[in-house]
Amino acid sequence: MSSMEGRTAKKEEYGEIEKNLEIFQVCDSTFPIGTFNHSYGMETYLRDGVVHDAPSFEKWLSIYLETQFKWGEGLAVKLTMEALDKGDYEKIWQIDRVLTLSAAALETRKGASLIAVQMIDLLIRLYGHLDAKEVEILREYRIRIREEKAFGNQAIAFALFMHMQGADFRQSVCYYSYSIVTTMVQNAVRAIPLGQKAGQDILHTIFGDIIELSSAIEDLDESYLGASVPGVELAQIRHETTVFRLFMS
Amino acid sequence: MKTYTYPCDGYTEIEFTYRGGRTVASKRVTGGQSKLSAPLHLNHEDTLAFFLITMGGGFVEGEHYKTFITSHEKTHAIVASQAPTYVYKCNDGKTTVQDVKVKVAKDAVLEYLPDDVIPYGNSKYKQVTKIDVAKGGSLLYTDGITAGWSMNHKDFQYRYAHMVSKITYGGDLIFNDNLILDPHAFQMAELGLFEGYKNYSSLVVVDERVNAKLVEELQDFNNLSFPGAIMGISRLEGPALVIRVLGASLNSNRAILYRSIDWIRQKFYGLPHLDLRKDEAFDNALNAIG
Repeated sequence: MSSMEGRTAKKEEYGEIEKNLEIFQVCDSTFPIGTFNHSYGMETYLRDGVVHDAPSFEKWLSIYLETQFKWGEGLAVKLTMEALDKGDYEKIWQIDRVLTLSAAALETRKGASLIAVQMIDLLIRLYGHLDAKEVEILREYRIRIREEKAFGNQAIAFALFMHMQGADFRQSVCYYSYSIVTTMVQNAVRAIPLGQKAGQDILHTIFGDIIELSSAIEDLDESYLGASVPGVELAQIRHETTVFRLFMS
Repeated sequence: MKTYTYPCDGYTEIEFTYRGGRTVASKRVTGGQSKLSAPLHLNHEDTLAFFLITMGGGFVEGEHYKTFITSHEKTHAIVASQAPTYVYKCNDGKTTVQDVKVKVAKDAVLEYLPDDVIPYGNSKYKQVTKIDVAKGGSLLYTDGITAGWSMNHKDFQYRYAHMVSKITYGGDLIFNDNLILDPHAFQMAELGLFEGYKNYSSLVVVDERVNAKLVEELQDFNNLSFPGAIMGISRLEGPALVIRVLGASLNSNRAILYRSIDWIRQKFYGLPHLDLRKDEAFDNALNAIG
């Protein structure tokens, strides 16, 4: 049941705010979908001593965002929202497939799938009562993953949620990036470790990168989907044989 | 062999067929700047092998190359390159393009082992390789790119490189390898990109015998430190795996990959060390890592 129902607050004045509150919840690093278990290859740099303080972590984070994230999950958010606008629902399963099969690292694919399942389940738990096309697709996505007809990716699930909230792709790409970055900063705070304030400084600085990457995604078509660069990807592959680890990927 | 005119600058088509108890090259067509070597005489084995050759030693700006390799049932063949693929400088900003299409039938083995690409200063390069392996087929595939070559001897002076490999198994996509290298947008030697190394090479193995256990065995086999390089191995979707290497030179990267190629060849095909007899520098690099 929507929290507005049965209340006296005026829908036209608070409807937008409520939608934003709902978005904040999904973007929050405490939204329990297991992202805190994944380092996206950062842990390999940590083990190699390459990432060891705030500046080196920030460097890794901005390269990750500008490359694999931009061409991967970031672009997937835009492509999914475009597919929803056009009513081309088959396209969503194609995006899921290409995005997943672009990752050379088994742990990256497995991690994305685990997170997606938890996110879809939680979104259905919170919004399953709504009669929305996006909810229907989320349900189908879940079934497809169970039947191994889809792999599952959090960015696609997030795009479905944002489309349901009436957001555009710029908001969706930026907010999704925020949700990933805030979790990564928390991961770095406990793994490197960094001070909480240093973490907040990085988070604040990285907003500029997020706007840049969203702006770049506007010009990208699906031929870029899943592209990567050597080091970022090799670190994810090498994580597989890391003996002592804090993260699953 | 008849040479045709094609709407591209270099054309190669080669087909392998099993006939009279052995693999024969049932079709060999080249056009433009592309040529095929005579069958190679390999040391240690009699597997049918050819080199892809580009006249003039490389691709010129704006040129378009097309290569088709088809391995029919029961064949075993090797297609390698005689030398690295040089992509010459590009003054007009035109992209040099190479399209490769490979088909491997059931019970066929294809070792498609081109050398790394060496992009010259200012060059723009796009490579799209589409490979379909039928269920029961077997593929070894190498690919890679170096820091390039330029007049000023600086690294990463090329403009842009986009290399895509789409691999399907039994018609289903199993790997969409999409590499974008943009030296104008990124500090190529840095963290996340080339990590201070100069060459990036990879090997993909597709074969129904590839599973989690085999990947672990291959990881164990490579659990040693390669001087001046980092490498990693992971299992792809379907019966396939990928090895990636970032290293100091084309030859040392190749030596690391060929060590695993030999391991796979021995295990899957019962074949000896692959000796394409290319150059001494490579043999030295191979000996250096044992």
